[in-house]
Amino acid sequence: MKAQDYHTESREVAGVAIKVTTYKIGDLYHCHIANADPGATIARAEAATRDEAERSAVAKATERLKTPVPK
Amino acid sequence: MRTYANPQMLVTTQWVDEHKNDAALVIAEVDVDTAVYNEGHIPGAIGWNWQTQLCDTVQRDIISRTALENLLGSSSISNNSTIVLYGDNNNWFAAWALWQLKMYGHKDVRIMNGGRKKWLAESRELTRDVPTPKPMMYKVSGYNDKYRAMMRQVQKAMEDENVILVDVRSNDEFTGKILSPPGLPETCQRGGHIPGAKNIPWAQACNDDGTFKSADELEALYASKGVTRDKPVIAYCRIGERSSHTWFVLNELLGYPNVSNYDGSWTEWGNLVGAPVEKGA
Repeated sequence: MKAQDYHTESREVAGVAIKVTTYKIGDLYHCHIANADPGATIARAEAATRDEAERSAVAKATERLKTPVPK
Repeated sequence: MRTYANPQMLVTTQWVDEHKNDAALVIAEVDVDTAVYNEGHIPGAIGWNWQTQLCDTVQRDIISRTALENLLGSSSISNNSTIVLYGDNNNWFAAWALWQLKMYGHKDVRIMNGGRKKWLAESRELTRDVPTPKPMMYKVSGYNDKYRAMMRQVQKAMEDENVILVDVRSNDEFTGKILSPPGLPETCQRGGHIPGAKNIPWAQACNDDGTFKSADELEALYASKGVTRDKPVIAYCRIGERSSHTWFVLNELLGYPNVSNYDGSWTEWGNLVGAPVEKGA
């Protein structure tokens, strides 16, 4: 088993710079969304296709980033 | 071109691929995102959870001597084992594990240069099989507190022009524009930085593929902000993990003789009543 189609790119959601990383392991595409700095994961998703995994992860990240951090 | 002060501290993905079945070698994955180990990991690698296994889960502290002995023993690690650590996001939390192992005196612990990112990007072998290590006895040989700075030392250092404080958080955290990185929960009452600190974000030490920059590039990066080997250096961030990565770079790769990690970091300082805070660049 190996990772395939490893791809990473920078985007912005909810006004926040993020890094989107996707790759395929076995039958599943894994997508991880991290804040640009320091690079901590804020959302992830798995799906049968790259598009589906990214769409789902970005939706989760958007929701999380819109939620205020409690003080 | 100079080499790293301790080049043996880094191993390549190719080296790990060739030696992953060696009996004296234990490979441990430590990720920021504790779920990714289960997606697939290096065959034979064990997974350590930084949130539950590499800290004291009751009081805020690093792992205790006893807990570390239990963790290493149950991971089939002896005092003579070679440990190779790797993880996601430029080996961020692999460095956190290494910093603690070095404090507790483990002799041979190294980092796989490029970490999980490089291993995956190179399409090297993965497995979801979780190893079942044969328990061993591990005895911590000592505790080297010179690698760790506590709050009172930082308070003194702030008044000492000879000591360099390096804030390795993002510029927005350093200036006080934000209290914590987007989407992360640990926060503080005040934003800004310790007066006099230099801002050198931790990931500037890495290339895009997750490997460490060359010794020349690293030396130039830190020297550009006045961080040089002739002065004591205290690195800090938010909870002490990004700064353990910088500690690794300065202490192990560049060989600076007096580098410590203030793991209380901004979540301690930024919540202290009466602590001086500087805002802006």
